[in-house]
Amino acid sequence: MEPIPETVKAIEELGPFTNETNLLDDLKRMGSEVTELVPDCVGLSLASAEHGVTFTLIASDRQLAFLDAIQDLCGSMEMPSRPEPQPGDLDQDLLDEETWHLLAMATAARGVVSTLTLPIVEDDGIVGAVNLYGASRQAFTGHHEQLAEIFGAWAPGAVTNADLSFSTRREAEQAPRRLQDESMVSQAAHVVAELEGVSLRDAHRRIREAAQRAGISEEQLAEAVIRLRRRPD
Amino acid sequence: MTVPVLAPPIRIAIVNDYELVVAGLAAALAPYADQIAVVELEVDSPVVRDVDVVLYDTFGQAQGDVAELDKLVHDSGASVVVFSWNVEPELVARTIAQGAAGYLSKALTAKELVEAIQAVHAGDVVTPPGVEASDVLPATDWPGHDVGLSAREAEVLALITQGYSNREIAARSYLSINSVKTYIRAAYRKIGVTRRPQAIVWGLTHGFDLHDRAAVE
Repeated sequence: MEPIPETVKAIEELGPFTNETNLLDDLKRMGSEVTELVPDCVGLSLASAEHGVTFTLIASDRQLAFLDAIQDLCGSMEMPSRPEPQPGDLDQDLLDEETWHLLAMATAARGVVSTLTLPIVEDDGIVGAVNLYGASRQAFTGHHEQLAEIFGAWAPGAVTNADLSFSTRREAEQAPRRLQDESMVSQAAHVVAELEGVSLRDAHRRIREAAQRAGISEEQLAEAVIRLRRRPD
Repeated sequence: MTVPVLAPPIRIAIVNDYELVVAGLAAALAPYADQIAVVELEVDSPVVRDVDVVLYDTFGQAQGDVAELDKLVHDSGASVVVFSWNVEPELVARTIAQGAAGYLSKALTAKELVEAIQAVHAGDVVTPPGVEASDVLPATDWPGHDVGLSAREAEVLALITQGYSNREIAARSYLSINSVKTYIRAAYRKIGVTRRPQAIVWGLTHGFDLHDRAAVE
């Protein structure tokens, strides 16, 4: 599996996020260990509560093509074909779990048929989560403990099929922007705190409230504040 | 009886965005006031007085063939000497090609710095002898020095505070991204933060600034 471009950008340009090691190398190593254990794992996301961002690795096109070929070869035996969901299916039973599962699959990222979510716990608090994405329904069955060990995660807290739409990938795509925005708001808060003689917390609140009143985002207001501050006298 | 005529001291301006950096360098040169007269300390404003040499400290500044240096060379009318810990040969060559009269390493002692400025004033183009600069010139100072930040770590933190990405910092400092990340890790450890916004706040409350260039308009 390879990191998506936004994950590379977030770590290389706005990292390092780790004290000693290179996070990109760590992610690739964990990805390799996962695919060794679960060959049809096609995606991996690591969400950090501390940094408020998600990093994602996905199977390369070559790996996906290989998996497609394998499934094509074995599909009739192991993976009976499922009917495509039709609009009318919803009317039959809105609470039918299988219907929801089929709909979710229909909109899922390419190849994702099952997911496994593992919380990462440190000092009795959740500091992050790992989401793994499989190309077969039973991809992670029987591997929870070993997978949790790779990430230092908590196996008893595992949740299955909670993210068939691969929403964490979209989260990861937002990471560079989110990190840049956060830095900019911090700069702007300092400027406001200095000008107004208030605490940083109050400055943050003032920026948030002023942005809301003006109908713009905090980041837009922060950018304007910094430009004004940098403007020559 | 012939009275010996002493040459007047060379008049210099020290330019950098950081008051602490400028003041530290002036203090280092103070014992040599009979040879070097620091007549102007420029923080965020143009060099206005008539000086012989402009000493441009690169701490927290863009390096290489950048507009800031171009303005100094063309607007000040003085010989411009770049003073930096980064003596990457390509960077030195580009700086000299842009019109700088000298490029001096921060590994120099204050006495050697004075001699180098005198050589530049005499018309020589002075560049480092290819020796890697060390981090420390004892008489100079920089923000974060008091908490143990090396000059390079402080330099990187200054650019983070100004909002630059690691790639931009690498480009401005002629460092690899991995080196930049190594300096960031070390700096974060020393200032007790783990996240970039925290580092920015720390920087802005410990003498670093949002400004991103020395002003010589």
